[in-house]
Amino acid sequence: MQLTYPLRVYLKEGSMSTQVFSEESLIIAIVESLSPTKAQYDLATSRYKTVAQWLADDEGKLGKAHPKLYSQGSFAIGTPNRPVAGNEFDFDFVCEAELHPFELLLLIKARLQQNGIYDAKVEMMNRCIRITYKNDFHIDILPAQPDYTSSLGCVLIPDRKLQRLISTNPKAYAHWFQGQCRGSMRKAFVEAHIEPAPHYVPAERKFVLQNSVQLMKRNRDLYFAKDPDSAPVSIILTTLAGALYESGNRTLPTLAQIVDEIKTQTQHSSQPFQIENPGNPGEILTEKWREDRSRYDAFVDWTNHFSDQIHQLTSIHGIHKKTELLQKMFGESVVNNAVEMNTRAIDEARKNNALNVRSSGVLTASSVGAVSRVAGNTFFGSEEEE
Amino acid sequence: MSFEQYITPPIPVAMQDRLVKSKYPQFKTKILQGNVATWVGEIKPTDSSQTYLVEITMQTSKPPAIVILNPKLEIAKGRTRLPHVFPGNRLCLHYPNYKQWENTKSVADTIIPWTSLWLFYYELWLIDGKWHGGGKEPNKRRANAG
Repeated sequence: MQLTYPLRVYLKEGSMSTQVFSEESLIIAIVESLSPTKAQYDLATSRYKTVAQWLADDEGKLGKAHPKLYSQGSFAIGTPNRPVAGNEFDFDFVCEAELHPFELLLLIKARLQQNGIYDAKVEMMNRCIRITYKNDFHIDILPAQPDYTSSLGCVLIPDRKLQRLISTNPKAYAHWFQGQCRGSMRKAFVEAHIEPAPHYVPAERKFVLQNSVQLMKRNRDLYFAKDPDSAPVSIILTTLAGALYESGNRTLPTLAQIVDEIKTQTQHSSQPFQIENPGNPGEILTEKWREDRSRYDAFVDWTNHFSDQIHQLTSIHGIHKKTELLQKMFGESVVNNAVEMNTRAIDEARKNNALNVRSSGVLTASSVGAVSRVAGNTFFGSEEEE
Repeated sequence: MSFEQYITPPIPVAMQDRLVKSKYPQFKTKILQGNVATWVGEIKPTDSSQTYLVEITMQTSKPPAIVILNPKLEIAKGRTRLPHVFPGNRLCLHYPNYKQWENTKSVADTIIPWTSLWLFYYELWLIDGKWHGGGKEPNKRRANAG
């Protein structure tokens, strides 16, 4: 059997910032706190390989169809977030074979249930089979049949509620997003790399487009916490961001540019705009907005609210004030974690006698532009209160 | 009195002034007379921080006095007073027994960076009421020590 691997998203060539508590370092630390850890990626990869091998080794109809497994969704494009409530992540995979998708769905479920480990945790969802690992994450396996009547990579997937097949193209979507990440260089040739399941990349080395998408999804989660059914779905946010991103290699300005541009688009007309799947022309991602106008209105309200918050962030000063607003935007624990990461960098530098100061007074762990090293000191004076 | 004082003279106030101005050109000299100097200048501890107007007064016979002219320093929620200050809200940046400050040292290389560091931890203190910068506290019985 062929284990087909997802397209690789190129690592950005950039240097790690030694500036702490800069706008960018705080935002990057927030994205880092939002993302799965390296340990979680490693665990997911090993579980994915086990599942893939188990399916491939089937001696029945499934195995004989030589299914191909590849990742899709947020992990494939490098934008996965921790869910707001609870600790479960979502790894999405496509299992592609020359079988009718509804039949493939049943074959996958049956095969997984043959393995004792999966028995208790295998569920059939509307379009996929879900394996739930307690306290960790789900693996969702989407059965797909190649659709040769359409463009390369197009597949048909089952929808049990609608009782029909849906056409989509996750590989083309991932490829498109990967290209958009390169901003002004998006016309440059992007080599498709084959590699195992998606791997961990620290936030400071990810594309600003990836980071921006994560921040948008998180802000949306918090805004719609009490009314999740009205929330715009992630693929809409991701596609908008990918389409509207122009250039730039700093996250907060990019996020501001994208959200402001979305806001401008909503102001062009009172009617909801349409978004086509860039990987699958003809597939309209915003169907629900036509069916239910209130969902579009909720999206517009959220966009305005988020835009206001972003602009407020750039105009207030003081770590305490920025932190307070960031907590409202992205969540308390994630932001507290980010503040701690930045503080630790200063504390470490101070401990190692490597903390410097610039002529503006800005503390830095770099010696570039520094006028003084901060000599060791012990604060004294009035007592700290209990 | 340390032995070093016999072989290292205190830095003259005029020299301190030159060192402060060369490293932190935004500082202006308000007073430079005899053994006394007062500087006022802006300090911003991090790019995300507020900008603070700082006044430093020194006399070669005493440790420097540092006050924040603006913005007005706030009190963290759940606290009633600022940490690591002397009466009059003069910042306390060093522990005398450790001889971290002496008049043989340059204000530009000690007091000013420590002020920035104090302001950094002050902003963190405003978030959770905790002082993350370490330090010592005077013996509770000797309330005016330091």
